[in-house]
Amino acid sequence: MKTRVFLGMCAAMICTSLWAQTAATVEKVEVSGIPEQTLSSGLRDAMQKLTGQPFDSQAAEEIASRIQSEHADSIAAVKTLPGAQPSRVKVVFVVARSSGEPDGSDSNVNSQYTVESVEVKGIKRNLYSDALYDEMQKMIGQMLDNKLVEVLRKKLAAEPLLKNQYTVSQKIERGSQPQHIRVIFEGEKLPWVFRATLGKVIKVNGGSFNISVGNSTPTDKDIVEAVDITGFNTGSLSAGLRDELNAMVGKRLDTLEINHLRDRLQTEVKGDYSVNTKSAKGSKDGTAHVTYDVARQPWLPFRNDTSVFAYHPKQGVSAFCCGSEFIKALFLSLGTDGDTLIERYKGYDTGLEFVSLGTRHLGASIEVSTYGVIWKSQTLNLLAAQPNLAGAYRTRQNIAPSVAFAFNRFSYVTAGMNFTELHMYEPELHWQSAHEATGSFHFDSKNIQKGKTSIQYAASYDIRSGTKALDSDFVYTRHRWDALYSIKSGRHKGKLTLFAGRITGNPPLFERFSLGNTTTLRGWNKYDLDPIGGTRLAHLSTEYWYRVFGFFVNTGMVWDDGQPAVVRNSLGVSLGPLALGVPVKCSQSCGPTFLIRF
Amino acid sequence: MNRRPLVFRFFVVLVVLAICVRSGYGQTLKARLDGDQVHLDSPDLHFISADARQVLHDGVTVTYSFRISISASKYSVPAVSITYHCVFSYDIWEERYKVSRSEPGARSASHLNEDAAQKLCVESLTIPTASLTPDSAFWISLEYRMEDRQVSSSGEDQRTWLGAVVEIFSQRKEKPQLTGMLQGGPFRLSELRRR
Repeated sequence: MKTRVFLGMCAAMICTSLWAQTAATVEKVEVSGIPEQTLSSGLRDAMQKLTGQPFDSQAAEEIASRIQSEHADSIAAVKTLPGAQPSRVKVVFVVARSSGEPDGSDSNVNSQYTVESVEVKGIKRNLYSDALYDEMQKMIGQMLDNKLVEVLRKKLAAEPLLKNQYTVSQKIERGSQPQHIRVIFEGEKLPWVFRATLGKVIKVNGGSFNISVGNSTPTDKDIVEAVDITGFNTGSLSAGLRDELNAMVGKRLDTLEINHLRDRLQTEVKGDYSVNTKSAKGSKDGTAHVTYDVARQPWLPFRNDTSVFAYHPKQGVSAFCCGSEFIKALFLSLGTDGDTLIERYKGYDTGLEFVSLGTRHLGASIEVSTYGVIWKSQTLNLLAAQPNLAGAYRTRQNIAPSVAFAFNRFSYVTAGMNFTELHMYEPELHWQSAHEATGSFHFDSKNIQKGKTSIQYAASYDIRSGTKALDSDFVYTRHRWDALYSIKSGRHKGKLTLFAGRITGNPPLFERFSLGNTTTLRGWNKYDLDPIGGTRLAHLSTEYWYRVFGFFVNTGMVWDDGQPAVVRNSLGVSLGPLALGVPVKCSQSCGPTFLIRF
Repeated sequence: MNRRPLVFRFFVVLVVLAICVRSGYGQTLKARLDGDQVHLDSPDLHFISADARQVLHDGVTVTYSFRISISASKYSVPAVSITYHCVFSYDIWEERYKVSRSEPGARSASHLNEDAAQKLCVESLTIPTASLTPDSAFWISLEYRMEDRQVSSSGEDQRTWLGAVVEIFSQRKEKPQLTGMLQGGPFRLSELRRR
């Protein structure tokens, strides 16, 4: 404030000296910053006597001194403005309160202007108190006090009839006279659904959540009163990090600093834990409380994620979505998927999955699914020509119990059964069983952080075997190997995925391999490559990403035992979920294909 | 389906986005030495967003926080971090900006146009040379973020996902909160241009 007044005074002195050289006539005298009526009549008379006289800087300074003596908490400066004619000048005595505060975060350049009016828009006058109205109107004639405006806005929002019903913002507009401003509080009514539920707790499946808006979220104006770490022994942290966390206390809330320390905390607690940050209002007004929640991560992942959102122009839309919001162990997915398999299935997939059965080593799940199945004509035509293969079916139902054992957070094995019933079309509608024993091994290095570079490599092997011992009508063994290498450095990301498969025996169609969808051999159509899928598979995908822009090259082959394997390639570009895949060396029936995959 | 126009449109979108990204490349971070302080300079950096500008033109103060991180290499963990805050306001009569660096150490300037205000803010972000090793190369990262300016309607509550949705729908004028990051290097103290 003092700086501002000092600068104002300097400007006034310069202007004064310039105008003094030409001895301009005073056209008008005004007071800015305080109501003129607050000055004594003698002082007001002395000011008005300047009008019509040649401007005398010494006389003006004397009047400024008298204003200061009458308003002991203020500083007055003389400001001259050009008059209506070149030889005339307007004298303004700028009065500012000398609060002694330095220019801080609340400094607003408009604080030099006088409030001409205070208005409330969007809120009826009878919805807030007379006391608040009077408090607002007291700002008129004063210089803008940004902090006071903020206080009054909060008070208005907290009025009983407005709380949880309106949001309130403020703005400043030019007044009708120069150097004057209008303060406007704008109220906006919330949508009815929020007004109806605000502040009320709704119980859902034993849990609860509070629906409300408001000032629970601290702002950068708030001072951090405490920093807590939950779920982890802080004694295990480095002294440097502890000091930095403690150093936040007493300072203004700084999101960048909070996030920086969260990253450091994550580095120190290692990947076995996840760190989340919560910032809330403190115990006193104007304070904030920062909490770092450190939670131990389960070793086993959720294995029943069947969600797909994809579009392929020749295979249609696939939207199969999942949910496990209310009870973590219960999952339910439903929709249609024409992308993953040779068949297009629609239906639901539900079950229970526990990733930690008393110990992080052990998990279990049971999955139940029922699908109606639709086939492409290319598939049905080829099946008709190959009667030795397992045929098409109308419905697929499955029950799949399994257990999982984690050796550590990087590797685990699974074992289970898939009891699948197929409602076959040929020779007439009848049920057949595809009962499998399943097993798998998975390794995932997780993200290995080296500075700002993170690397991940993963590998898995999956085996499924249909056997007479499980009363299966289909006898086969299916192997699949997957490998992944991914590196991320800054905004650059590279990814290499490789998988291969082999099936012996006579598998049902849902187990056969295919390539040419939104993730493999992008640009090709699986129904052009192999409409019934194959029993041998190999695929390599290389991707490079910069931010949301990507480039990929896919190479793969799918074939049946005893037939020649044809290598096919595609390349393309990606933009987030959008991709343009171009098959390499394909016939006239194929070309660039626009794909979407979330 | 007429594939050719679809492909053409896709490439047009890609080209437009590539141009947008290219404009981001223009934002370079430079450093120069002035006494015992390293000053930053990024002439092309325009961090005041359209939303922030609207808030400023409504006469309301907008604060940007800046975090300077010094690291030995481009992707290594920062060895030094310093946080600054720049407070902007817009003179609704003179249509000029005022910028104040609130902490650490207060300094301010007014009667600036938008570009000058942003430039002055960035130039006021300094790194003490004492925190740098004279002969070692270092990288400077500059993260910035528009501070949240809260507009409230109620008292005590808890933030939930639904609360966040409510805020999105109810405070559409108050949500501008843009972040960005610039990086420059490698620099050596002994090779920095002196003022």
